[in-house]
Amino acid sequence: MLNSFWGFMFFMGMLSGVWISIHSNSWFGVWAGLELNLICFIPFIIQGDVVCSEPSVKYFLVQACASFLLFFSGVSMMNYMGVMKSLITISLLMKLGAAPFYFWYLWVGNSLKWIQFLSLSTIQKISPLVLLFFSGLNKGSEVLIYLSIIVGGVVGGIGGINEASLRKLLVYSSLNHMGWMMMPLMVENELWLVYFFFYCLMLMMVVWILYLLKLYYLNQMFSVSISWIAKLTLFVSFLSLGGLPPLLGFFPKFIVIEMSSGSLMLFSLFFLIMSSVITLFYYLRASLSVLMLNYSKVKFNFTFSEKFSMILIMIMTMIGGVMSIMFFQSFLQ
Amino acid sequence: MNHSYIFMIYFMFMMAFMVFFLVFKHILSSLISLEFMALAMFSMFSLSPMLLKSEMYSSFLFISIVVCEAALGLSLIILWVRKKGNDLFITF
Repeated sequence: MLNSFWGFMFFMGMLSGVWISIHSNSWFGVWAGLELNLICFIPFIIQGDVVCSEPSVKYFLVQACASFLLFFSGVSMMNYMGVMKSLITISLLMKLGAAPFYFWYLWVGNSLKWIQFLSLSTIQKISPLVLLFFSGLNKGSEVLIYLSIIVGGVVGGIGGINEASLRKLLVYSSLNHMGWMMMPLMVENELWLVYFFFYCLMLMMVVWILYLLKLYYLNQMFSVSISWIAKLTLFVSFLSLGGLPPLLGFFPKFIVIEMSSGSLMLFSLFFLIMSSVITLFYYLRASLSVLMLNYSKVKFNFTFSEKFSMILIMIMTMIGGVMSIMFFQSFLQ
Repeated sequence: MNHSYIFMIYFMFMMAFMVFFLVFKHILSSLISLEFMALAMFSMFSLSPMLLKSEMYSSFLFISIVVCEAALGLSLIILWVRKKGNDLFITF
């Protein structure tokens, strides 16, 4: 996508849409940035082939409806304050693909290639999350966000058990991680951004390996043409996404637990911890089947850059968890 | 034209929003209800500054972005029809 001139322009338009909607004073600027983001993301999904018409139409319909609702309720908030506050939150949850509005995310995510899936899960989530944080509408009426956290956590945990498609598995895991991210966001704590950054990093690591190996379904992982170093990297990346302690993915969960363990949010924290154990189950199922079945030593025929990226992923995952505890000591006070 | 007419435009928008969620057969119907939402908002942008006696430039900016989005929606329908042969949500 970044090879051609118009591809580059569309990608920059996507990022400027996010930038505009984050930095604007009024709901007009927010809506303009969200529309720019949507208009530039649709060609990014399609990229010239007709096969991707179906996810792009579904994505477009949901996001256009949600941004109209956001604009309308933002503009008319002077007259109907209570209703419009919850409508703004509802429209932002619809844009995120958080619970209970996650069905479009499942359909669209299952039909995209890996690079587009990654940008759908990371870049397109930035502006609704920032808007949820900065709008400050969740102080008095937190019931809606609590619903989203608990339902998202539980559905993200249990829903992925019966899935064979790797993209749907990662969609359910992102539902779970959305629940974790909205815990600090609800009490206007900046730690949600730390969690979001680490989640983007871990997801990028997993998706990069799967993109290199061109794996889209669980039964493709049993193939013998995957070299053992790729299998090991995939195993470590999936475990880090599930949140095992010395690896990178444990640290953001730890700071959320630390932040909310003495407060009234203990009830939703219980649901989140239980459901993240279930997500660890399906990550383990996906990655152990890679390691254990039909193992034969093959020469790995990757290029230098692919080998370099795999080694970098292993280093970041294993050492990054310990290093970030050292660097972020101030957060844990 | 007094201030209580704004309520009619709120009603228009909410009806368009509800109609968007009722299940249709054709994708073009969903696009039409999106345009109706945009029309309700455009009339709200045009009428309320008139009532408050302030300037009304924001409606031009709004309508230009909405037109871009409508054109994108139509070209997406054309892509759908090229693949599937009709613009229905469910084909057998």
